Formats: sequence, C-alpha cells, structure tokens
Amino acid sequence: MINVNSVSKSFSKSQVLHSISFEVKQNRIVGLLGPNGAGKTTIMRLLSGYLSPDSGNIEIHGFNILSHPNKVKSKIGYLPENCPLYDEMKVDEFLKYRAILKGVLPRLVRKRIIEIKDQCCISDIGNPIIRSLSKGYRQRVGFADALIHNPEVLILDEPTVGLDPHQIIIVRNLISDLSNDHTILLSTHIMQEVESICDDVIMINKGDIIASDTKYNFCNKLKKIQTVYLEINANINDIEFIFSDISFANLVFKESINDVWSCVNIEILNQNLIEDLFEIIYEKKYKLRALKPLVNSLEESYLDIIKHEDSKK
Amino acid sequence: MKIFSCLLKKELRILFYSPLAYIILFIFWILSGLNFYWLLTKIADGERMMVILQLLFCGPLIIFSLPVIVSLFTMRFFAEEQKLGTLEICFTIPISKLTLVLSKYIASLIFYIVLWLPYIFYLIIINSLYLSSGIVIFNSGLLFTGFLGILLIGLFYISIGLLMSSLTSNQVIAAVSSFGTLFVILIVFMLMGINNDNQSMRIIGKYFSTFHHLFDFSRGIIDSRIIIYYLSFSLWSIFLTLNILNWKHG
Repeated sequence: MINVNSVSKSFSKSQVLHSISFEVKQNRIVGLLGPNGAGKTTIMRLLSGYLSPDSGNIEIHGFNILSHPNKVKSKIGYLPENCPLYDEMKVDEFLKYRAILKGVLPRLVRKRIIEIKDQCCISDIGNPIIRSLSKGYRQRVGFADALIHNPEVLILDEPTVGLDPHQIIIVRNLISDLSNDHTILLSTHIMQEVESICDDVIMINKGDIIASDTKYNFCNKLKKIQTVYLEINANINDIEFIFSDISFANLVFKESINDVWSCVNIEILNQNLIEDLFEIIYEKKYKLRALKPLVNSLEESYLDIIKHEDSKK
Repeated sequence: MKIFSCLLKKELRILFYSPLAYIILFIFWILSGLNFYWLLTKIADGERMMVILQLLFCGPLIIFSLPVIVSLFTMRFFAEEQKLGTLEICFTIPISKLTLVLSKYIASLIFYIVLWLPYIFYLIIINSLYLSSGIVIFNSGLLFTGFLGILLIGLFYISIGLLMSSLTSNQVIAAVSSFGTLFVILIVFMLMGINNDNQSMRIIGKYFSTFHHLFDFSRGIIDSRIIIYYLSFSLWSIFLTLNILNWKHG
C-alpha cells in the first residue's frame, strides 16, 4: 500500500532523512516511533505530498507521489500535527469546503458530512464556529476533514497530543474502528497508544529507520534470552528438581499458587526451545495450565533500541 | 472551475470575517470622501470637468494611501496561513498551487474593487453638477481609461502584496515590506519623472512612475506599453509567488 524507497530529505544543508526505506501493508495500523527531531513529521509530510523528497521514491497505492501527486493526494487523508483549521469558518462550512476540494460529488456532500460527524462523534456540537471549539473537538474536526473523502490511507501526525484521557480514548477507538478498511500510519510519542492500537512499528532515530517489524517482534528485538511464564501442577518444593536437568532452561522465579500448583519464570536462550521445554515437562508427567512467553513492554524495547543504536554510533 | 469558486468563496468569507477589512474600507472611504469634498470646492470655483476627473482618480490622498491600503489587506493571505499551518492542509489535497494563488489574487481584486464603489456615487453627483452645463461625463472615455488605470495599478499592487505575504509567516513583516516596496516604486519614479535637470532620468522615471501612469489614464491616454508593463509585472509577481511557495513547501 505504502512503499518508501531510499528517500532522503535535507533542509538547508542539514540532512533530516538518510535514504530510508519501509513498507506499510494494506489495512494495517503502523506506529511511527522516534525521539523528538528524529524525522517523523518530515516522513509524514513527504507521504502527504506537502514536501518532496530530494531523492528516492514514494509510492502509495501503486502511484508515484512525484509523477501522480493529485492521484496520490486523493487517496490520502492527512491530519497534520497541531491540527490546523480555519478558525473563522463554521464546522459544517469547513467540512463542505474541504469535501468539494477533495472531489466529493456535490449531491453527496451533505450526506457525507452527516455520516462523518457521526463517525467522529461531533454531531452533538451542532455547527459552531471552529474558533470556539475545545482542543478535543478541534482534533475530531481535523479527523473528520481527513476522512471526508473516504481515503484508503490515513496519515496521522501525533493525533492525540494535548488531549485529555477521555478524549484520547475516543480518538484511539476511532482509529481502531477505521483500521478495518483503512491503512493507517500514525506518529506518536505515547507508547501505550502504539501498544493498544498498532499492528506494526517503525522506529526512526536521527533520520534512519532502526526498526521496522510487527509489534511483538519489535518488543523482543534485542532480547537474547526469552523468559517464559509457566503454571505447573507441582508443589513448590519440587520445582528446583523438575528444572535442574533441563540444560537450556534457567529457573529465575518460583512461587506457590496452592499446595499442588506453582508458577515459575524460566529463562531460555532461544524462543524455539519453548516447544522442547513443553515436551520435557510433559514427559516428566507434570501438567501445565499456562505457558506464556513474557515480552518486553514497548517502552522498554524502545529505550533498549535507542540505547543500542547510540552505543553503536 | 468548481474548485476555484469554492476557494474564492472561502477567501472572501475569511477576508470579510476580519474586522481589519471593515477598518480598511472605512479608512479608504473617508479618504476618498475627503478627496471628493476637495473636488466639490474646485467645481464650485468653476474648474474644468477634465481636471476634476484627473483629481478624482489621482488626488494625493488616493495615490499615497493606496500602497498602505493594499499592503494591509494582502498581508494575511499567505503569512497567516503559514503561521497557522493551514497551508499544509491546502497543499495536501488534489489542487494545484496556481489555483490557490489565483483564488487569493482574485479575492484581493474583488476587495480592491469594493474599495472603489463610492466612486459610483461621486460620479453621479459630479454628473448632475455638470449636467446644467450640457456635459455628460458618463459618456466620456475618460471614465473608462480612469478606471482602467485604477484596475491595472490594483493588479500590480496586489501581486506585490501577495508576493511579500508568501515570503514570511509574520503579517506585520509582510505589510511593512510590501508597503516599503510599493512606496519606494511610487516615490522614487515619481521624483525621477518630475526631475527637470536630467532628461534621461525623467524619461525613465515617467516610464515606471505609477503616478504619471494614473495621471495619463485619467486624461484619457491609453499607452499599450504601460498596459503590458503592469500586466507582465503582475504575472511575473504571481510566478515568483508560486516559486517561493514551491521552494518553501516543496
């Protein structure tokens, strides 16, 4: 759906992006993570067609953004950082104006405005002047603008920044609802946001892509040792004996649940050995009622990767 | 065309939403009213109709206030949008930058024409005053050339105003720089045009002086070179504005 190939961008001698490449698949929600000044907004602006790359090419839905800018722009809904809107206009007037510019048929504009206001939970405010709206409502009007022409791709630059927790939940639910029939790329600093709504993660630091993977793989990217949580049908006193002869497993934590069940954390060197561990315990005639690989939180992984990259440089 | 009219309507809506637009209209109408009052005293003194029309179109209050007035209403067009970030949502939809620039240009031109609306009443009054002498000014080609001169100068001034507005995100800087540019063009060439010491300087000054051009137009003189000069300069300024926007946001 989105193909970015060897794209570079610089502003007055300072190179912001160094030949970056990544791909976003159809109907996925992809979180673009990175520290301040990493180049996230520049990527968003390049994808939306606001900026042009110095080199490399960007394809959205098979169309090159430089050779077919209008075709690409008609397939994109873009919500910039800080959500700029025309304060002097009324909500309906603004949405009508944007719908016409984005090519919505005039006879469908009215209907589309009603639909999109419902979808973005702004029907209840009526038709006030934009200047009088709270930050949360402004953000949702921005969303409505990005969605008014029913684009296939949504590019959202920090969509929840500055919102209160209730508004954040509304916006996150909206993004999750949209993921069924939209491809979404969102940039954010908030790890819980990525954790709760994104399928994949792209991480950028100082203009380079340093990780691009599924959320699960991203969380385990730098993890050499896998920790597994088990609930085993054994008394706490037998636990050490059970795992003592499994060479690849290291018992790091044990606790009694009751007289016959215990829970343990086991470190193993390779994720593939989880199956072997399961088999060995089965052969020893112990029952398992839970076996779960423990993954890093996204925040831990993010910090680990940043630290790792900085130490490499 | 539908997209252009949509953009134009929005520009006019935002322009007339601002109190500044009404302040500008009020100031210019006061100045043109004072100019008209001065003309009435001239008419009472028995001044000829041709001189009256010259003073109506290029009275000092009008000619010197225009650079300020145009700078004030063109300053916000790009500067404000760059400051608020709304230019970003304009450039990420399938419309061309030229359409956007032209919509702002035409909106400015419509506002500029609204500035001159009181002239209809002034001309009706002047016409009724001269009617007793058997002179009908509404049939005069002088009116056409006078308004043509006003229109051409408007096109030129607005293009400079928009160009300066595209250079910065600060409205005050945009207004001051466009006023400075227009005022220097007005004063320098006007002074060069009335310089009697140096013949070649006077010719160059007269060729570029807005004051001399308006004076000629109000006397019914149409010089195709002057029309081409204003139109080509306006087109060049629009082209430059487009390039600045491409350079800043491309």
